[in-house]
Amino acid sequence: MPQSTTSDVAKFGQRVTANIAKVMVGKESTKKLLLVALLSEGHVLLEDVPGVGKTMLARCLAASFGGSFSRIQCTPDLLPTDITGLSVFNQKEEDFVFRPGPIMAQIVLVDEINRATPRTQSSLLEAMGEGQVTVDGTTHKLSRPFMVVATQNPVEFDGTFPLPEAQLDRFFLMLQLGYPTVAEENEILLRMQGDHPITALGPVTEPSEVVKLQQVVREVFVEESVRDYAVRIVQQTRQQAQVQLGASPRGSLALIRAAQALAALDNRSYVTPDDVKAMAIPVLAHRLVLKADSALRGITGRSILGDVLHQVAVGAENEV
Amino acid sequence: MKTKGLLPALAALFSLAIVSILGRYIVLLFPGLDVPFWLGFIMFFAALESAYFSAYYLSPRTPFLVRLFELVLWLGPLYFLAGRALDVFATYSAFVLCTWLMARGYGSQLAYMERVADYLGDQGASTVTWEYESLESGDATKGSILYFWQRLLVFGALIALLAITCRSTGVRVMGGELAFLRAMGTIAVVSGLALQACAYLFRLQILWNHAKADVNPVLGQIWVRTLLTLLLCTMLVVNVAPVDYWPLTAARIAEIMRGFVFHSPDPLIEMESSGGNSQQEMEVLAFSEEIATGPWGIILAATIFAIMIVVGLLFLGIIGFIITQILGAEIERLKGLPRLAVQIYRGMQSAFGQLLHGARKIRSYLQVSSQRQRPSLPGDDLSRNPTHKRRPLLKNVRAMFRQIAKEAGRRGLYYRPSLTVWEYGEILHDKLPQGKEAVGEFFSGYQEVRYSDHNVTNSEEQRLLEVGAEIIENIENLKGEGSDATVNDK
Repeated sequence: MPQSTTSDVAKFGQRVTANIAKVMVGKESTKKLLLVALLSEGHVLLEDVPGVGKTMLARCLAASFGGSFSRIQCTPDLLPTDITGLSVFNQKEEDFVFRPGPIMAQIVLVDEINRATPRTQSSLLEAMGEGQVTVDGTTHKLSRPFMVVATQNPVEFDGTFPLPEAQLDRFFLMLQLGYPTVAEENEILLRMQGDHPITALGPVTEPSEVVKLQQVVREVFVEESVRDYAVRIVQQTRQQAQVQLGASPRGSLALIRAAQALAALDNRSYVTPDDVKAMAIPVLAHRLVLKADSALRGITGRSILGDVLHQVAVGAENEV
Repeated sequence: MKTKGLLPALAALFSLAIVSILGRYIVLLFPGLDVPFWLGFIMFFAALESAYFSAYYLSPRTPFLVRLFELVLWLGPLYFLAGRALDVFATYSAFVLCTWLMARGYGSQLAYMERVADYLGDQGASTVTWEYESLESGDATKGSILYFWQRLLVFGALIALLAITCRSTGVRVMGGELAFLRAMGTIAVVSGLALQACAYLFRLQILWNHAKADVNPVLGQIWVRTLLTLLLCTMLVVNVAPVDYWPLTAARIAEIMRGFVFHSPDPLIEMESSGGNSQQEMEVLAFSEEIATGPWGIILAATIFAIMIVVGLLFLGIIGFIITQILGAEIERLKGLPRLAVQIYRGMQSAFGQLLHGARKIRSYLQVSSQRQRPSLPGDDLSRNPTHKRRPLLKNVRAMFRQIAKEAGRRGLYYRPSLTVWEYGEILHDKLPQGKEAVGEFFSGYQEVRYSDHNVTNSEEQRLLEVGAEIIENIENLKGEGSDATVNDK
């Protein structure tokens, strides 16, 4: 069996992106970042205003991916067992039988995650962090690849529960879609005249291929100065005056892994500082805990990361 | 509380020493006065009685008659000892009364301190932990500590004033007088410091007692041991120090400056080595006066002032260091002079750190400059990078990149540290009218050899160097064409 290479990753990326593009118009960078998360074994939080295609993007990814897919629609009365599954008493066998919850899938769409209570949100932590679920003292391994794509609406506050920092840190990327351009919106209207195109969307890959490509991504070469650059960016986030808590070491790991995946999708077997720079905001912005006054002044994690990237020397050629 | 038993004795000793020194200087200034040796004993016992009586028995309700009887007890015999001569009695009684009143003041303060519980009320327990807060919240209790401290300083200043007056009026203290003054000075400094330290310990003991705090008795022993060591050192310093109280006198600095300016040996040193004679001494003094009144006077005064400031800051810095070591996290609660000392110490620490950092930067700059001066070794300064050990040909490509950046920088296309090489390549690509392909080829090639684990071959290196040379040529043409390429960042 031939060994997979970065060119296979690049081809995979093109294939999946083209498939998603049958439904989703534009948003090329977001689609690519979604693949970065999938190849890095990470989870994605899509945060944007209603109606811009967050759920659709997640559904497209699931449809393009040949594995199992489940969807959790979060509401305040959702219980942790509604996600993880529970043991029910089987009268015929006179024993408790585990009934798996929707988390036991390979792509899990958690829609409007901030409508679930913190208790229910926390039930995702173990699955997202360790790829396993413990119910009634029994640990159930989740099948690989496993990816949670959560969506949330940042403008509504009634009946919502902001995600705790610990959970935000477990999301590999936080992406924003933004409104489409005029041309893109026209194209969307044109496509939706008939049947919804997602119904015709078929899988273009399979779980085993994704697992192999994830291994390829892990082997992408990271030169010492590039790794150092990533670490210095993360360190710098901890020095910012507006920040209460900077990015964690988990953030450093995620940044390097994301840069590896991006390099592989560009058919490169090595990471450049440009990869690190491109991934810094999606990977780190949501991991910063801002001071209360900074948040009130409208400062965001993204703007702070922008400043940080201007402050940190790339270190390619310091002596020019 | 054992400390309280010791404090009146120390107060009496201190009062005796202070009044004796003051009296001796007054006698020197007014030679008609006579103070016999035995008067010292009466002063001491009067002070001892006054301090103990006021510390243990005296209260606002003590009848006036009792106080009068106490005075008569000391002044009555004194009248007879003075030979019933009123003027002599007045002199003697003035000294005894001064000592007696000083000691009474200290004794009263000790009694006052014991009533701290009335002032602190229910907050006493918490103020034990937060000693500084208690000092802040209770003005009355703070006053007691300040009382001891202020008197120590005021009496020191008064003695210094009298000593300077004596010196300036030409009174020479010699022989037995000098020995007496030194002995009393030592007693005053030692008993004064011991009094201050023990008063503070006494105050702590009051608070501990009030809060029913279980304090390790070893703490008191350590306190006494440390105090004794400190006093021993002080005694040594007082006796070894020159009479001037300050080693850098105006005459001394003038002589040092004279040595610097005229490169002649220090006459004072010569005098000391040869035993000294009056003619030389006169010359030195005349020279000092000449300097002090001439244009050097301002420089001399400024030098003395600067030295005083530096020494003062150093002293405060040392105090700050000691406070920081002892108090640790509690230093944020400090107020006044201790806080200033800590701030000065921190400032000095920070300045020293910056100085070291600057020195390191200069050293590394000098090292880099010396390496750059070495001919025909492009990129040699990168040889420490492990990547270059693995791929020696890369250093020439990197050197070429630096050359491109340098040439482009002269045209305003600066390479900023926060830019990636690729971003910089894009700027050049946009700004150069010719050779855009060369820019693309060089920068993508650079990225590959710089960041991948791919070993660059000779031919690849040669090709990149050729393309780099082409880019430099295009940049130079840009200069010739007078382009408006002034963008320096993305």
